[in-house]
Amino acid sequence: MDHERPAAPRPADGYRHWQAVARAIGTDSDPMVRRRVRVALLATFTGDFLTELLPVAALAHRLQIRTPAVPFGQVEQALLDARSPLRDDPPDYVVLAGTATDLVPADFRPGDAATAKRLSDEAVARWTRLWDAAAETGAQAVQLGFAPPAVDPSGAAAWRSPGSVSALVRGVNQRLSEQAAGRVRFVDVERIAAEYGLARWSDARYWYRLRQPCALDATPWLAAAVVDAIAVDLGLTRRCVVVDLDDTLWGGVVGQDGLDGLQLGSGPVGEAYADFQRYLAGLASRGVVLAVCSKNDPELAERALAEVPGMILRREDFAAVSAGWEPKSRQLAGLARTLRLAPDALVFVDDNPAERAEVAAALPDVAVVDLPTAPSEYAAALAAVPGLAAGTGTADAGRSRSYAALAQAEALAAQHHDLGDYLRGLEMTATLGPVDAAALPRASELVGKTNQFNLTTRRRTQAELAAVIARTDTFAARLRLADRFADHGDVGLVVAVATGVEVEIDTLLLSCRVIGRTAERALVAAVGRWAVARGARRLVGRYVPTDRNALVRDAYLDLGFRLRDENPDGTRVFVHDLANGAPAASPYLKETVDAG
Amino acid sequence: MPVDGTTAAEAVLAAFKDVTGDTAPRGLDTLPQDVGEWTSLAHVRLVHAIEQQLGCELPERFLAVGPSLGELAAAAGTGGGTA
Repeated sequence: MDHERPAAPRPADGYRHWQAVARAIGTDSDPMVRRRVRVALLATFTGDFLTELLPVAALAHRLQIRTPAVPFGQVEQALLDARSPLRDDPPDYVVLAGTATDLVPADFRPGDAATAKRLSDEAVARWTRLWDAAAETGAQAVQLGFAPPAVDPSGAAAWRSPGSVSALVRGVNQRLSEQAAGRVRFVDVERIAAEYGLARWSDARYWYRLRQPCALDATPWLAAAVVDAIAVDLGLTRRCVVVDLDDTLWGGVVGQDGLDGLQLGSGPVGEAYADFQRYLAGLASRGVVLAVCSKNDPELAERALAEVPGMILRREDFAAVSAGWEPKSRQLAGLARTLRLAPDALVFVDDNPAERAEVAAALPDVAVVDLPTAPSEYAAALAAVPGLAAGTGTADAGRSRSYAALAQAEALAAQHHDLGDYLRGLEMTATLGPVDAAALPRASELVGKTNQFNLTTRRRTQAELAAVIARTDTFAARLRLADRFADHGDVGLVVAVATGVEVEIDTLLLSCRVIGRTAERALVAAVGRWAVARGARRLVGRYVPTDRNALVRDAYLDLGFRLRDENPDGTRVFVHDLANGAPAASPYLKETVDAG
Repeated sequence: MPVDGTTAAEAVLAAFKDVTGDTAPRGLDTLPQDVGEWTSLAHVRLVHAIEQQLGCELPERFLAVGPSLGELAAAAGTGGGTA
């Protein structure tokens, strides 16, 4: 593409702006995108307006979306009819979308609670059957929740009135979202419509004339939510929020005003800062890592985090604290190294426009929040960052602790000159377990986002991964690692496929947090044991180079494999003879098994 | 808010160019059949653009393809019926 890539608009910019960007994008291929996916909207309404905006919403995630055309109202036909083009050439994602009108037949009379209960059952059965049909094609389903009607005869009591359409919608949404967990991505349209304003969410003229359920200016909000869900599924999320201290976490400058002279917790300004801290604490509880980047005396910054009266966040909520007088871009780069995160995983929050500009210029992949001047608006500004507010897929309150443990492990490494002593000092336990339904979302997340320790970088949606794992000739295992500082959760995955006398390792990856801990040995040894048990004679490993995984070019040599072949594209094939048994496990890991 | 006829006409012609990428070939007399790109979806975008530009709301019947640009301007010029 020879023209400049259009900037990602915000939903509040409105439909006209988004549509103009849609025209500007055209069908060009952008080499800067991180992933390319095909997304089919299967809707009971006119989907053109939503479909045309999906590639625009994808810009914020550096994602490219192609949208095969599906006529509206063809939901069942597209997924269930054996002759459907969608079944021959399935997209990566199918977005399933209906309206409240689908839930009620023409003769339904509001207030009929018994009928509403039956209709709720029928709706849940209908849409979950479509989830199964989507999974059969290999496509990952994204289910849109239903928007409630803007006007309800029960008025303000509509949610609580059995038999009202509003209550029916809410009940169906609740049941679908519960059943979606670990299975399909659920987009809470009810919540988005409430945020936008239910009265403005729809425009009755558009519904009756066009079967278009959203007002055009609400459509960018819906498109953004759909693509956020896809980005989460692909693991393309921002994982770490880095905050400044003075006038960002509290009002005032600690170096001038002193620990007791800051605004936090009381008064209109102090309450706003406290609420912003509560918002950050909420993000942390969902697995978002918090860190500090401040131009301050390091000791004073640490003291302030521990002692400023009214703090909601505690020192242990932050995985790392960088304080000093270096440019913030350098501090951020240092934090990224410590936390083993790429710059595109970071969100930077700072009240000072000059600091923001410096970071944005030096580190263009960092999401720099254009913070308003009033602290009362900080949380909303941060919530508007795409891929952060949508959720991380597997909310993991322990993840922040795991990142904090990296700094502690670094300190331990400094005490040991011998690598073996250091690894033994970590007192690590590796737990191997099956990739069952409960483990699948995290495994899918790892497949989507792991770059550095990833031998083949085979990206798969959750549905695709589930299909591969379900095959009888496939072995899959996840690895959970704990050390003396933290339980890091599921951080490793191996998938291997048997072909005749050989077993080939299809996927071998580790989270950046545990690279260098020899955990890959446990995974490969487990594959080896499975291969020996089924009578295989050789274990084959493959390294497929990307611009991020040079680190593991020789990983199989380190594991005792020998190089069998090397292609001009850099792909290397290794083999391990199983005549003498499986590859050795790590001497530094105590291994346990979780049967699932 | 009702707008005067000149403003409405200019806004409608500008919205038309914005949506289709072309100048209206017959000015305010342009009809859907005069322009290949004037599809039903383009018409909805046109009505939305006019409403945004003039801060009015056109009656539902104008969401259907049919009226000329001049008729849309006239409806918008009187506040679209529901200012």
